[in-house]
Amino acid sequence: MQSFGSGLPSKPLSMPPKQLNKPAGPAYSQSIFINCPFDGQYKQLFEAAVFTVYYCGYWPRCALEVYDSGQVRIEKIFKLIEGCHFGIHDISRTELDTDSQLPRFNMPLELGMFLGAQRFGTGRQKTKNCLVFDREPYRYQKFMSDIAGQDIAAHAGDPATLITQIRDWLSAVARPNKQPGGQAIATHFEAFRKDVPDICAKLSLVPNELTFVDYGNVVGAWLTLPQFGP
Amino acid sequence: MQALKFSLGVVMKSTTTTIRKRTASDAPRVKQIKKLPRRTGRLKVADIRKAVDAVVRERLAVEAAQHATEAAE
Repeated sequence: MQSFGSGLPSKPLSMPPKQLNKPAGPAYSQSIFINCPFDGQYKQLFEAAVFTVYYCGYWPRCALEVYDSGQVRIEKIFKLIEGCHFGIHDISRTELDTDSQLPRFNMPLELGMFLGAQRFGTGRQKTKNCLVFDREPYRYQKFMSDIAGQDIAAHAGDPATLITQIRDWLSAVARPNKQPGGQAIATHFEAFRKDVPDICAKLSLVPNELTFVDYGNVVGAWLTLPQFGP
Repeated sequence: MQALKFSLGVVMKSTTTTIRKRTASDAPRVKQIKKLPRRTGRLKVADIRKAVDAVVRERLAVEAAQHATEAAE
């Protein structure tokens, strides 16, 4: 069996373990807003994005943090976007909902909110940077032509491609961080996914019951273990 | 005027009575609620760490044993 972490630096994460447990909100410059579908069909891509963000030393933030509370959702999403320097937006979900036969517009709406904050915000809001995903290159021009001219990445529904795109984007726009390539991170993500059912079993859960916050804590704990040592 | 005074008096009296009654009847319940343990619904980070640590160590031990077996063969 393959052992993991052979190509990793001795300290793969730039944040110390204690910081992962911090209940207070993470710093603006370290926060990445993830705007994507949350259904079962997209789950693997979503988890890959969360894993990569943690792996690169950043904090994933998303609307799942606020869905359970009683406050007005859009206000909390505005707060989340305001508190994130970076954003990962996936606009690939254009299919009609099977029950309602209507499309879901939350992702384009939240992308618009992010771009609006970047355009009309002041101070650090002006420095926002985002990565926009679709399934295929240039497909977005048929349903969201107004964002033509921006660099839209295509993940083709493949977690490894998504991981590589996020890693390369972060390397380009954020503080350079000694990270392995996207394929190495994808290999670690696969290893992590194999461990998740056993971890959940020890916590008397099934993997589908992990909330976003708990999933993040599991990823954080997994990445800080000495399995990546030299 | 008399009618207005009467109706105002009734409203005020009934409001006051309601508030008094509610306060009095709810007091024991509030105390009970406060006594219940607080649950956040989230897992404790320490428990997650323990679980992750145990699973990864088990996997690494299995991998090490397999490597040793292969090397011996």
